Amino acid sequence: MNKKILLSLYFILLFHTAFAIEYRRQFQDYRSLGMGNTGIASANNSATLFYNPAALANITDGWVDIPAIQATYSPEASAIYAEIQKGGFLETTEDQLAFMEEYMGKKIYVQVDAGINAFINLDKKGTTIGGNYMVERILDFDIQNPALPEIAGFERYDQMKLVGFSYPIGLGQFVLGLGAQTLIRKERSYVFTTTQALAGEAFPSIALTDVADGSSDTGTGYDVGFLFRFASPYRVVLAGVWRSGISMDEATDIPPEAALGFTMAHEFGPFKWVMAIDVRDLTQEQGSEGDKSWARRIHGGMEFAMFPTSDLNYLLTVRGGYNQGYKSLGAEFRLGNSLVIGVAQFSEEVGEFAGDKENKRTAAYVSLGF
Amino acid sequence: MERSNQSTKNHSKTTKWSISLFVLILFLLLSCKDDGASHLAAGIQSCYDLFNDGNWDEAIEICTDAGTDETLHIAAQAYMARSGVSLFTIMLDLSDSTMDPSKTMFDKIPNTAAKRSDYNKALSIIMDDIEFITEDMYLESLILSGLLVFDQLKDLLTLEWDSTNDLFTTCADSSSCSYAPDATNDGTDDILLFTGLGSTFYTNICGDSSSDAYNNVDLGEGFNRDGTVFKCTIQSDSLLDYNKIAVNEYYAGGSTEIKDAMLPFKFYENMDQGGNVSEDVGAPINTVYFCDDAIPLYTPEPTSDDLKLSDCEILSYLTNPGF
Repeated sequence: MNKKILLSLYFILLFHTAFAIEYRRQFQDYRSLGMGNTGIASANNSATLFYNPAALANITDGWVDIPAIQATYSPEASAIYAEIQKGGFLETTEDQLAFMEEYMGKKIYVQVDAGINAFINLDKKGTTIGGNYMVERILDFDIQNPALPEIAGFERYDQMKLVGFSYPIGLGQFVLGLGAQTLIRKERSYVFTTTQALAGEAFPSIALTDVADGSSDTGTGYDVGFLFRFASPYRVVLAGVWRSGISMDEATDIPPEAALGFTMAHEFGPFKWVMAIDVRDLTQEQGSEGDKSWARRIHGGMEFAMFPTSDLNYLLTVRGGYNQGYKSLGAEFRLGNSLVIGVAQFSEEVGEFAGDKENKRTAAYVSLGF
Repeated sequence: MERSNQSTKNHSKTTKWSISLFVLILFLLLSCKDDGASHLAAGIQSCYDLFNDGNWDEAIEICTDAGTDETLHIAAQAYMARSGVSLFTIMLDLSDSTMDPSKTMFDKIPNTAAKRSDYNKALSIIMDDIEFITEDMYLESLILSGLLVFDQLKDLLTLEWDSTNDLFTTCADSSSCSYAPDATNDGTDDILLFTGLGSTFYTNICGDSSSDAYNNVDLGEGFNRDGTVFKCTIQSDSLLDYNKIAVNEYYAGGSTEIKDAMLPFKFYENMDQGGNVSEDVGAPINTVYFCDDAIPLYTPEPTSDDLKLSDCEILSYLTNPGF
């Protein structure tokens, strides 16, 4: 084979690659995702600080998760596992070409979040403090360009430290929440083309606990949120949050975000029905330029919990909702704070508008604690 | 007690209403999707997604509508893909050193009207609609224009690949070309008869066609000349015009290996060489040139690179086409 002819295409056949169109939000948990990714007003678990620090007031007890782990993945993620099982990831030209052919047009997504969390309510009225120490690892592959197949890879490693508190003001109807975060972010993106595969080049090596050769940066941000708890037996709550975002020089910024949420809960006997609606990114900072889609930014969902083990915790919960134009489902089994197993099936919009390009994902969560 | 019952009833009523309202809102939310791309980035992304999914028809429509250079190029690639070719597959085949490059290209010649149409549309998009044409786009244009001209030559020459001997065969090998000149005698005079290549060939490659008829032109010594010579002026946006531009641009840079492989497909340059063609009719006339300045009313002797072609140049070219 006269490889020189192929290699001559190396530099000229470049394909458009857009990674910014997915709203890449930090740790979105199985409960919120099952409820259409709502949480601005309704968050009440270990992910609360990722939605609204004022929602810490929804927490009426305390716990420590050691550890909490969530894996989020698209259906084709098993392909990555299968490759790793072979002893490496796309190590031979044959593997690389077969992978590109089999998954043309697909998006393969894997995200793992792991960490420890601690929360404690101080007065049953809404004064709660909490914190998270989490690492988040994302592997995201787009297999694209039938004219010259290529793998567009994106990797990110985030180390997140969050602290926050909520404090009721006046008679307690109004709750103020403050949160702060430090973030260490490493990331890289690359395109591996068929011509590189045919030239015998190695696919970029992937370390599960780090991003090799990526850009790295550190940043800080803060969040200010509120809850307004209506005088109602149905726990009607209106909430809002302003997240400052985090500016980075070397890595991708986290854009600032303003969001509003609404939730209500009905308790009857051993059951509880929670409903929530969020409107995220009110200033439309996320997505690509010109993305003004509200359908992508409106979230709604509900959960039906059964058999309480405390004021906050129920043994079994099922969930459903709407996220960016797609339905979501979820379920949870919980033994107090000692064992939580949760799962959510949802779809992430990875195109440019709600209903454009659906990427189905599953989030599986487990935590041990006390 | 009554107040308590009333309170419970109200509670239950409110619960039903609030749950009903919420379910209704959720139901409405579930049908809340965008109708389509409302901003440029969305159109571009939809174009790429459809292309990646192999949805050629929709990709062509959306990418053309998006109207940027990059989406127009994707539309062109989608036209090519719909016809079963891509720059990469052609390059991959050309990389096979056991294959003759001309045979490789011969296999890519469009064999249906729909494929010819797609090749032409892809070529037109690249050369006419894209504002900033890159090197790889010129290479694609060189290949597309080359394949479409090759297609015309295939018909003209009854071109076939002899896999036993690994070479092309033509109608000339069996002296069966329809355009072959013929020397006859009508009982009084000897006549050199040449009926020409026809107008279709020129119309397809030049976008133009005309002809000069030679009726009993006296060559002396009882010898006449009869028949027709076809010719054309190469129009802008014609296959040979695209071929000329694409060759000039790609060969100004480009890969040496690809340029070597593409030499037979520099059709404009190879054809517009100013070559003439003649027939030896024997003594005392001997050589008769088909295009002759000595007959000023008729097709003059060809000159090179003048954007004019005639049967003389084409027949001259066909004596050594390079494939």
